[in-house]
Amino acid sequence: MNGNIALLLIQDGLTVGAIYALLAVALVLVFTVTRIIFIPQGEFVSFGALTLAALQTGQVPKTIWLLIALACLVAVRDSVRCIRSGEGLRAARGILVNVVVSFVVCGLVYVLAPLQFPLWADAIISVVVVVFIGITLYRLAFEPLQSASILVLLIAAVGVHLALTGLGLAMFGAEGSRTPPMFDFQGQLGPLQIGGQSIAIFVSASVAMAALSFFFGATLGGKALRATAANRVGARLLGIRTARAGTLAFGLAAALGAASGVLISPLSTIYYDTGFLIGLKGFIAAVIGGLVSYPLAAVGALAIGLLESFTTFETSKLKDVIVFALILPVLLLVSFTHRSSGEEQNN
Amino acid sequence: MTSHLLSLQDVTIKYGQIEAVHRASLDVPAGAITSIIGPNGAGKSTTLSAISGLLRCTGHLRFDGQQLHHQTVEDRVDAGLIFVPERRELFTSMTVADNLQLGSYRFRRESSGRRTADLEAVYALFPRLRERQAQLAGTLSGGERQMLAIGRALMCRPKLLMLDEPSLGLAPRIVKEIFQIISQLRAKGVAVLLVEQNARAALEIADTAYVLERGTIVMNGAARTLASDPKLIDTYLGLPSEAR
Amino acid sequence: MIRSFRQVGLETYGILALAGVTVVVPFLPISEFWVTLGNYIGISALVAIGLVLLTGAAGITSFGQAAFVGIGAYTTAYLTTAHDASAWLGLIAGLCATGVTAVVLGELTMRLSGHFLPLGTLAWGLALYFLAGNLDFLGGYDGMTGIPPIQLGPIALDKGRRIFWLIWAIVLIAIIITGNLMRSRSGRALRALKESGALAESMGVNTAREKLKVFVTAALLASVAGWLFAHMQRTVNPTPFSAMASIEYLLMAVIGGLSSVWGGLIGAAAVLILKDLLQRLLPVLSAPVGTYEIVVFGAILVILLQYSAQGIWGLLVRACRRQSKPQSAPSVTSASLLDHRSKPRVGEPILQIEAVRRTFGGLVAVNDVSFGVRAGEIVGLIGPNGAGKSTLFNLVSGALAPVSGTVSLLGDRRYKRGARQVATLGVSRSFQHVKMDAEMTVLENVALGAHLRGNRGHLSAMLGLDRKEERAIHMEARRQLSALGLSDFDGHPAGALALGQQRLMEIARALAGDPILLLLDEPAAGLRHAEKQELAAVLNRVRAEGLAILLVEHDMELVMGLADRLIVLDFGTKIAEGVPDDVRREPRVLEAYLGSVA
Repeated sequence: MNGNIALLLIQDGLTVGAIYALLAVALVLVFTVTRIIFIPQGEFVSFGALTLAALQTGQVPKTIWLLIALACLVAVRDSVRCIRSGEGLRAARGILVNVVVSFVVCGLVYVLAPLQFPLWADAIISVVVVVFIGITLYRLAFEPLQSASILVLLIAAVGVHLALTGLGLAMFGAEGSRTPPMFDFQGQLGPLQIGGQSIAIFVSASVAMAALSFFFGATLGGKALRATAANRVGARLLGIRTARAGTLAFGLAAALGAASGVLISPLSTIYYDTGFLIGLKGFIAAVIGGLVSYPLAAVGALAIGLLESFTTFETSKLKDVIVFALILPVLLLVSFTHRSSGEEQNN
Repeated sequence: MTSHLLSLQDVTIKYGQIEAVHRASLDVPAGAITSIIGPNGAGKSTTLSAISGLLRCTGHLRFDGQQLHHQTVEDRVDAGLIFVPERRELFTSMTVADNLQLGSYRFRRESSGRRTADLEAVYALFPRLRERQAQLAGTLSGGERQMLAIGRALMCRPKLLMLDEPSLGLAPRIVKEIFQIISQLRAKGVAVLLVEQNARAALEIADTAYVLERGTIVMNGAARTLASDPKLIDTYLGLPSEAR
Repeated sequence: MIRSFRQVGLETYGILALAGVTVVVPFLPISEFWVTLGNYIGISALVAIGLVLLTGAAGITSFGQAAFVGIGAYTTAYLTTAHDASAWLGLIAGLCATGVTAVVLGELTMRLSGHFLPLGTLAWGLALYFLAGNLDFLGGYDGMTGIPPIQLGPIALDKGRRIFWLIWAIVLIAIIITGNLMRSRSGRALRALKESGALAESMGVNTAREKLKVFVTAALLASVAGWLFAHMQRTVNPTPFSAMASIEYLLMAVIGGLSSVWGGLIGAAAVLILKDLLQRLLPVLSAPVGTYEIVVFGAILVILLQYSAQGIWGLLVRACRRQSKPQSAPSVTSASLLDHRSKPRVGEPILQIEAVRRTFGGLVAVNDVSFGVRAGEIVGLIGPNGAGKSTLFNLVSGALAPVSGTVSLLGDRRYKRGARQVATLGVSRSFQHVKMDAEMTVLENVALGAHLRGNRGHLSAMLGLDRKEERAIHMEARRQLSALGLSDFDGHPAGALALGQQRLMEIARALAGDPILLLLDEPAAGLRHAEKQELAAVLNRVRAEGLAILLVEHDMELVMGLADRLIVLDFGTKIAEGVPDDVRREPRVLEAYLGSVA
């Protein structure tokens, strides 16, 4: 391995690492706010990328039908609950608003899809659709489990992952898609060729992180989300609606996931289940941060990206074995340093 | 009914199969301090939790002219019913200032000017909190935590403030300070519902009081009358052997 | 005896019925399809039964169980194809390989706390899957073919109907031995540690070892399943051992019901039959095979979790319990059948605490406190909230270690080495918030207290060699229950008792451990007046038997009436000690309790 190759590998590693970092941050966000270890995070990546691919070819993305189905299920369930508990019109209005919003989003996408917008516009549409899917998913699968233990939530997350993988295959089929690069720019830095897409990924990741840290550090809404994560009861007693915090966290996580998918789809072909593997890597990074620390998770993600890039060069076959086997020592370390908190949550 | 800010009628609270509070009825007038006293495990904290909505209960709950039955904890907060539980429930990993700001979460759509004025008012009441504003809440002492908990609750502009054992684990000097502040709140028109293990101190500060024993209200009346009730002196106030 | 009489009845009928089915099915004129389905159900049931042990009894969720199936399958596949070894050698080698792997992975994973543990299982599950797919001598992702059938004497089990017998005979054995295990001393210990590690340790259970043992047991069951799988399919590839397959096994256990080994079997049958139905019905929707079935499985999993999950077995038991009649309990002997330790004479010093200090951060929770407790004496520890009573209690129970000072028992200063060691010294405790397995019977909960008085382990439990000791332990539990007036409730689930009875049950459990020192943490909290009187009578009796009792209590009336001596704490410091009548007049005590007034 000479210096140039090493530089190339580093560039590759950091690019992929930035994607992992986005997902890791999303996972930490979801976990701290809702205590859900969100295994299906990677599905948002596939959904985002494949929705974009469909829009690019002028097709109506099938994800909108998923959104409509989920929204209807939530509406039916909420209505039943409302009727049972004898709650009045106020709740009914909320249900109606949720459904109508989902239908409006889907309707717009349906009408706009054949018009073949520029790539950036389609990218935004894709992210929006996935965000709504994420929010509705939370309402449907996890909101009723709000007070369940971390373990139950984890098993439920696995269930959701199963369902989404199947739905992904049903919606997109077994063939993968690749979208054209967003930026055709090719930079030259010394001996190194830098792709526009790599730069785009890095810039987007940085902007997303900066935006998030502003949101959590300086806005009341972001602080309320942190407060919910730190102390649910305390937050409720101040009138912070913790269920809404859950939807907000899922919305953000879905946005980050879909954005990752949109960003990475010009670099490699995305299949319906590609996202899961990418998500798992982000997940290891999140675990490195103990599922609570954003900066540690982001650093861990870059490290995994680099590790993967170098092991691929040395022994491409065992790359996944090495990356996954690495989780165990990391888990051990994290488990010991976070022991007290882990046990508290368990009880 | 209208004269009372909060009224409970035949409220029963259960933990699973165990009945913690049985058909309790009580009224809390506006602008006064009402106290619930009684031995440990009598159901005092349980009652406050149920009023706040953290626990479910049966019976009638009215606050400020509204039925509370279907309202969530958050709805009740929006109505001005604010609860400071025994555990304080602070955000220990956030700063004192953040904790206080979150108290005004329900006014997030108002201009920041009014919220700042609220914050200044709390700092005026608890100068110690201003000194500590950049510190993490988790690093505060017990007394400061209690001040922060009350201060944060005041940021919600409560109509009724429910305090569960505000003197718990605090040194006598701090307890004195906290009780003085509670009296000041009354003077500002905030109604207070106070649960206290320190029965004598509670009766001294309260206008009316209820005695809860094994989940049932066994006595109620003007605090001054109760403080001189021979039976009550016998069980809670007088003999040190039963001084709970 | 374990749960209700009816449930045991149900299990016995189940075993008989299963044996009948095993023998008869291959003779029936049914299509090969059903036999094959039956074979798959049996193999999956083995894995799911292991998961019931692991998740249901011990509370350990594994997302990596399919990897152990894979190790069993690949070991035998490799040995029988590359080295022409006998399938039986393949089985033994597979068990060894799985055992070693499980010990290594278990040693690592079982140390993980909380939700990190299932994540750990997911991690090595994935790593092993990718490893299998990338090793050339295992055929990569294409796998290996040409695996010979199992030879049973001269007969080759090469047809579905033939291997059916072997598979289901093994399932039957697995159900019997795991059922035995769940009913045994180890089973109780596992359920206790699932409920709370602190509870199990305080009963003298070595939680780390018990977890590892049950983990290895479940892995070995999975390995046998893998062996059967390889020789039935005659080919192996990595797909059936992926994380997805692990999740499917977990789904089987959850759907079937985690409370009984039968849940594993029922769950396996339900999932595989449902899967088959879906595969036949859903192609109508014109999607690739296997698409909608995982959607349906995922949805079922989430729905089950949302609408309470006792599984199918839970439903069956509930249906049968309605008509159940209580079993008449065997008569109780007056003397314990278990060994007991020599009791110290009344008045002999038992516990000695010298200048013990404990700080949390900057806060001094217990400030150089000294006192002692003698045999046949009740010492009450009182003080206002936050005075350091609980911390002091935890220092004595071994849950916390002091920063300085010593705690010694019977003059032995080698104390403070964790709750389990303290338990072996003869110290039993109750908990401020009752800790128990609410679903286990009162009798079993009390029997847990006698954990250290038995010594039968996993293996003898599985083989049913622990019956005599179990009878003695149960007899001891009955003895304690009857002494506390709880005999009528021994078959009830502990969760159905009123709080006062649960507290008495905790004391019975503590006494079943044959202690010399009894630590009670607020035993009267939440009790009604009559219940308190009952408690006081019990404690008086226990004291008369020569036990030393340390009582942390809020209820002054009770403590004043019971205790021989009182220790009063305030802000971590001992402010008074003496007989109740003196202590109640002490000015510092008055001040501490009444507080200063605004």
